[in-house]
Amino acid sequence: MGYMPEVVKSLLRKFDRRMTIRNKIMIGGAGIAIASMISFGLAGMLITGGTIRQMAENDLAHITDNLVSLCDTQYDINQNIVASNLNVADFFVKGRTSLKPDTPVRFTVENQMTKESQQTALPLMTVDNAGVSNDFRLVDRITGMIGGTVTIFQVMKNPDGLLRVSTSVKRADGTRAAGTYIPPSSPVYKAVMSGETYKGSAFVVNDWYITAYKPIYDGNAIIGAIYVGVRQSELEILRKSVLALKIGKRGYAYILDNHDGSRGNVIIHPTREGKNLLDAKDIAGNLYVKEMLEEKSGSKVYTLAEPGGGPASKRLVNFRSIDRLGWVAVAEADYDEVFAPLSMLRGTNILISILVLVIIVTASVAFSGSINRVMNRIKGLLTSLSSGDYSGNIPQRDIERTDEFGDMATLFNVLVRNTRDLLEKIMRTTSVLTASINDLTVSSREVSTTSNQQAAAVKEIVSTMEDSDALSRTVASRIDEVARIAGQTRTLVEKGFALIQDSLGKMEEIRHTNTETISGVKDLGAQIEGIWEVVNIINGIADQTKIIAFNAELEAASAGESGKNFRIVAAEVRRLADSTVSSTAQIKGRINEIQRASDSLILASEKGTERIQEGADLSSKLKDVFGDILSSAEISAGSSQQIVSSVNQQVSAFEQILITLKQISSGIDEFVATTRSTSGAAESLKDMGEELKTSLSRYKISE
Amino acid sequence: MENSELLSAISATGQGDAAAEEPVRLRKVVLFLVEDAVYAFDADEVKEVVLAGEIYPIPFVPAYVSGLINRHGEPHTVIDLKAVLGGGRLDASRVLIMNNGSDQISFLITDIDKIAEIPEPDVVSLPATDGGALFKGSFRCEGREVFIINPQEIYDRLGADIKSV
Repeated sequence: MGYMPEVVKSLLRKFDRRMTIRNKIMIGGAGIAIASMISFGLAGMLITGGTIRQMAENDLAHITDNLVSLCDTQYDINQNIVASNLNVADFFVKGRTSLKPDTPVRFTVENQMTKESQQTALPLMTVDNAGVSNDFRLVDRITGMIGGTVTIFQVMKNPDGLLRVSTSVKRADGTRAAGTYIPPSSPVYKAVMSGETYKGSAFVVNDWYITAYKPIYDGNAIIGAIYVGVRQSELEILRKSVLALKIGKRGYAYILDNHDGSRGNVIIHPTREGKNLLDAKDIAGNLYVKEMLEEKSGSKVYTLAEPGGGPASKRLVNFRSIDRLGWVAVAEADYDEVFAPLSMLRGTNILISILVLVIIVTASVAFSGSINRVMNRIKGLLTSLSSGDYSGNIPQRDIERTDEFGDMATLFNVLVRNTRDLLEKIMRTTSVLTASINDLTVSSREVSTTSNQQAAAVKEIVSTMEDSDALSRTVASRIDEVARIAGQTRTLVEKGFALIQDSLGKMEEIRHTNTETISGVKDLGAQIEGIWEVVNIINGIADQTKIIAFNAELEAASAGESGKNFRIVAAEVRRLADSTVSSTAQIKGRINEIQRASDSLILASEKGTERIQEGADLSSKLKDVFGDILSSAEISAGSSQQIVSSVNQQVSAFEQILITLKQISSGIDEFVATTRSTSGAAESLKDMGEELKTSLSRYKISE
Repeated sequence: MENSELLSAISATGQGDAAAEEPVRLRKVVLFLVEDAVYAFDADEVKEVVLAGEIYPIPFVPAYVSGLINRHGEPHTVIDLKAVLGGGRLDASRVLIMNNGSDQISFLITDIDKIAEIPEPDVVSLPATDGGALFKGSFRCEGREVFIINPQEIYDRLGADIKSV
């Protein structure tokens, strides 16, 4: 029913709700009768109509087939005639034709397809030494013998083509068609120039001919061609046969031309021969002839106006193309004539339908009256049931019926009795149920309270655990920091260790250098000792000099006046010696100072050496201490790494605990919600129990 | 002192001679040191000064006789001037050899100072005392009071002391 429109649906609903069963049965019966009548009638008519049309179409198709084969036969006969005519014409030119290049003939040549023309000159063509160019005596003689048309062609260069130099074919104005030529694009030209004889339909100057073209040789060279032809449309025997075909009273057959240029020309027709129907329209404005010519074969129905202006009539047409001739054969029948038996069938159908309808309606009325009485009884009982009175039942008279309604009445009585028993049971059970529900309500309230407390406690734990989790994460991050710093410390200590080792090396160098310095200073002392000796020697010499000078002076003094000058010299020598002595005394003082200084330097250096040794010892101790520190730093770095991993494990354990607790919490929440809903359900159960009690109190189950 | 200066000093003494043709007598003395004290002998009494070399002690002589020295194969008696002047023993290595004939006496001194010419009037004569005329006189030289020792007195005391032994 889903696909029915909304209007139909609402109508059906109204019908269903408002009609009594009796009316429904009556209307239903009548509806079914009418629907089946209509469908049978329609199906019969459609099938019959389809069959009749099929038969008519087949008939018409046979007629067009016959027309086609008729035309084909006629065409074959004409071709045979053309072939024998070609033999006769060829006899006149074969071996007798030649060209005279020294005698040119001027032509105005015209392409028979494009109608372009130009001037040219060709050698004179002769048959039996008599010129045929523009001389029509020979072709007229042959035409007189064989009928149709005859042409002699000469092969032409620039423009290429086969030029009609002598012909019995006439133009529309009656002049000879000499000077026109077949262009190289034509199949005729191609066949002749390759030495073959062309046979078939060909457009000659201004009409279609059944033709034959044969090449003319001079020695081995193709110099021209001989043509014979019969006009396709000169077919008197065929015409008579076609016009003799009568289809029904108003039907007939005809033939249309479908060549380019002459498309739509009526070749054979009872009334409209020689006209062009390409633009003929039916009543609807379709170009129906054009349509047929384009489709070439098929079956159609057209409504056509009578040519004389009479009333329009529907026509059934069948058409088929005759490809060899470029024609289309058409058979046409009057539509009403074909379908006349169908109208009679329709009248009979309507009469039978009315009769059947009357019978069905009468039967429906009788049937519905019978069931109506029982239905009214059941209705009365149901009315008292609906007001809560379960004490009545259907009387014995109606139960004794043997049909389905009797069974239904009996079952109805059983139903009422059973319901009465059920109500009694429900009332008893309800009082028990109400008491239980009261208990349930109280206990579910208690459960709800307890679970609420539990939920709060678990939430408290979750929040504490979250704090702990955050704390342990902080610890983890701090520990990470510590581990990092421990790693840095280890690196620093390693650096320090290396530095101390360097410093130890440097200390050793310093000690070595210092020892060298001391030995140098000692050497210097020895050198100074040497100077000291030299100075003592000088001093001794000076002393002696002084004494000698003094003695000399003394001697000079005792010599009196004569020793005076010598005394001066001696005194001077003594003074010199004196100053030497005092200088050496100074030197001695300096040397003493130097010796003291070098002694103190040596002392200081030795002290320095001691200090350096102490420093080296200290550095060595420091190295040991640093070694201890390094191992401690390594241990602490390792330990802090272990702590990091332990703390990380702790953190992940905390996370697990937290997740679990959250799951527990959500579980408890769900439990709380469940107990709440249980509690609510218990409450509503209580209410429902009360309501049930009230509702049941309405029912009357005994007299 | 350069040679030129030396020569000018020599010529100056010549001029001095010319100016001092006057009867101002100059007394030549040898100045010497006994430890820090400066004493003098008249120059004509001193023969020469030598380095002491080894002093060989002599038994049975007065305490102020240090001993003998070997001077070119001849023994000379060494008298300790400090001891003579009553100041203990002198530790020195220079010896003044005196001109006193055959006795060959020398004095142990700390060092010689110089030979000086003192104007006679500048010399203050000292009166003989109980101790005898040990000093001939005194003069001022370069701010110091210098006593001129009388060696004859010491020779006499030595002779007497040796005889008394």
